[in-house]
Amino acid sequence: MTQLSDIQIVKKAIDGDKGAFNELMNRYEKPILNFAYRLLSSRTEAEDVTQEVFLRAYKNIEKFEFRAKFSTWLFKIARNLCLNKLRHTFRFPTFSINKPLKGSERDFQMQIEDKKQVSPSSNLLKKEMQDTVRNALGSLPKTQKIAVILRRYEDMSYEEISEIMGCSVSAVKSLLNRAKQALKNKLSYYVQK
Amino acid sequence: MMNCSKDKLVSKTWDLLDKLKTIEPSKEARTEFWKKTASEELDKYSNIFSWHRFLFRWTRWTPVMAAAMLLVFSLFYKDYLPTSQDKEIVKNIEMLENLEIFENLDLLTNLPVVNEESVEIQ
Repeated sequence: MTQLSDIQIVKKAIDGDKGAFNELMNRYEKPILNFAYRLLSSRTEAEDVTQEVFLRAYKNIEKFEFRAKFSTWLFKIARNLCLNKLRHTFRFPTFSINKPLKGSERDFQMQIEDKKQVSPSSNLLKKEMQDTVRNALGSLPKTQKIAVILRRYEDMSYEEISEIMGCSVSAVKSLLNRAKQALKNKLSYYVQK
Repeated sequence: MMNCSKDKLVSKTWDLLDKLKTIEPSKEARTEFWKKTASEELDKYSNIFSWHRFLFRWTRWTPVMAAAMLLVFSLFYKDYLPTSQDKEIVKNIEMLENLEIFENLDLLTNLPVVNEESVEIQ
């Protein structure tokens, strides 16, 4: 199954092969989860969105048109769900009384479980750097953020990004240029070091 | 020269985005997903057979029963309802009654005249 192309696996999944769909999840669960995580900045919400993305894909897999890549179709669903979530959190912001001030509980567990012998100061620097990058990325407008995430982390072509975002290739290029300039200004301190 | 350094800064910034950590999907997420799909499939099948529930819910039958009762009563009382012939008879009776009144009315209006005549005769 692992040697088959996405299209072949999708065809099997359409025929009702659950193993085929499981293979598709093996391939795309992590990219979708990280896409949602970078966009929403919350692990729990990213997990919810990922689950919803695959549920929708599972239910509507017969509607998949083989014109585009399967990954593009999945990212399109993920983008729509993330934007809905962002709109919802903007309208109804929620605050958890159990949540630590910075980072999630899992982040804290991950720090404890880290078996690498890294000095606390370098760990702190790494964390600070991560926070700065996350904040810089978070400060970008939604469309620029999506374009950056798809281009930088998912290695997608301009055409694929334009299809996911529903805009022209030139619009994607301009979004990325503006995002790069904004990021350069925000991260100039770290870049010039 | 300026442009070259600017490009370098942009590409360095681009590289800096690598510092953002990636997360791994949890193992429970997959089992949770398959559980959810199984339960949704069950719901789908239960929806197909939900007409049974619809059929046997007595409140759904209330309007049907009311209509049926109305039909039975109307059939039963059909014989007691006035037909066009009955209406004709009633109309005729009314006309006869009116005729009598008219006759009496004639007599009443003519009464003084009749009286006068009777006096003159005397």
